[in-house]
Amino acid sequence: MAKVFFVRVFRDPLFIFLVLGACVFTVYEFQAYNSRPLIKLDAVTRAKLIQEHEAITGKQANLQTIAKLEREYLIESVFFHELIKQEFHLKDPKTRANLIDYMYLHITSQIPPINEEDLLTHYAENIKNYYSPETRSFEHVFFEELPLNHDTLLRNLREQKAANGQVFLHGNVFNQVSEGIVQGIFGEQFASDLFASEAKDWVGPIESRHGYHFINTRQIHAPRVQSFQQALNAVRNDFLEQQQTSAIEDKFNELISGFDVQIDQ
Amino acid sequence: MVLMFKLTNKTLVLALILLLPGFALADDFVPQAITVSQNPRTFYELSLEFLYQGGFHIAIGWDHLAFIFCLCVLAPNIKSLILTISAFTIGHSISMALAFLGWVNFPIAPIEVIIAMSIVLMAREAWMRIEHPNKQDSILKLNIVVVAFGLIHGLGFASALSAVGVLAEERVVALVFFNLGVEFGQIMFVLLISAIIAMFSRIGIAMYFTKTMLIISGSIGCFWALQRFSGF
Repeated sequence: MAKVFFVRVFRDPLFIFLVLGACVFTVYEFQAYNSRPLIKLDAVTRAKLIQEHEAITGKQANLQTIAKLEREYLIESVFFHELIKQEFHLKDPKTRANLIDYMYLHITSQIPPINEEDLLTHYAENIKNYYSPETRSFEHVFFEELPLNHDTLLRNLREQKAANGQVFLHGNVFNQVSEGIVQGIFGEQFASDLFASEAKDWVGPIESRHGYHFINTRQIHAPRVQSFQQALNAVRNDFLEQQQTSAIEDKFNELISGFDVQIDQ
Repeated sequence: MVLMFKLTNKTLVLALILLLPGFALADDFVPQAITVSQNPRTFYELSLEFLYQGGFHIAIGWDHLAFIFCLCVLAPNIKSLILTISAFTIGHSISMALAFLGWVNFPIAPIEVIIAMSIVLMAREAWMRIEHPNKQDSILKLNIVVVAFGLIHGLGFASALSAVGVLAEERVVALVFFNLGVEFGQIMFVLLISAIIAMFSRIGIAMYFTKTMLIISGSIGCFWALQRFSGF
């Protein structure tokens, strides 16, 4: 009776499915078990943890403290693995930004040290970038409000007659100032008008962020090339930036082949 | 009810026994439709998107494909095959609509286990049909079992559809076209399997192919059931 029962059970396809399924499951679980990430707390790490603890607290770590430090290390390691598994590093914008910054730093830190020969070569190859900008020397007469007789004032100034303006905080004469400096003091529109004006001719009134000005460009100083020593800081910064951009591009080109890129409009 | 019970065979009873502890063990439920913050899509965009999603879900849904393969083997002729596939469609369409629209709510973990077990039971039924062609249950009994399992598979489809992300006003269209996508995928798979079996019949190895595939389906079904159960 029992024999018949067992024969029926063994011959039932359900038994075969179950045995095979259980075998596959066992192999799968065994493989999954062996591929579990290893969290290792070695002697060097333990010594570092103890050293840090003692440096912070000023006390020698006893056995209980060491056990606590080990426990904390394991908790943090497990949580870290779980964070990566759940792809928090992709979901959390702050973590993502930190990791990207770290990657940039990692790539650019591998750039070899800069020597003067490289800088000289860069200076020679990019000499057009090391011209000092055009500057102007000019004088101006300032009014807080638009003067009613501004046409008469302009005529007088052109005829070398005196025109008594108001006191201007930064002075009435500027020597060899660049457009950027003028922009910083007077505003963008004023700088643009000044640098468009002809030399040795009074023009105005021109509005600035302070009021109204009659200006006379005394001299236009054309751009001139800076010596290597004068441009050294700029050359160093430009060369470093070029090296960094190049290193980042190289790394990007190396990695991009492993991705499919889809750019939606 | 009595009539229903009389009609059911051992397979259905076993499936129902499996249902009860499954529901008790799990605490995660079939997710409701996720409302995503984006502009509503046009009917055309929506229909294409969900037609694709439905077809794609079937194409990568090995458990559903294994179940459909068993149905292909179980049906003795084309008419029965059409009836059986229709029974599965009716079952999963009903439960998918009910679950996706939030009218019923079932735990997904035991549903996944039962889907796996349904493959095992159907693979066994198909094997027995091949081994004992004279001891066949009626097509009606078979189709009742298939509708019951279809209801279970539909909950799995609803879970997949909910994960796609649908705006509240898009739900009905999404549901209809996802279902159509699933149907299209199913029909393609049935045609493919029928063609393969017909081709192997010509060279006399259809039986070996069918039995091998049933062993694989049944064993993988057991594996999936154990794996999903261990994940509770």
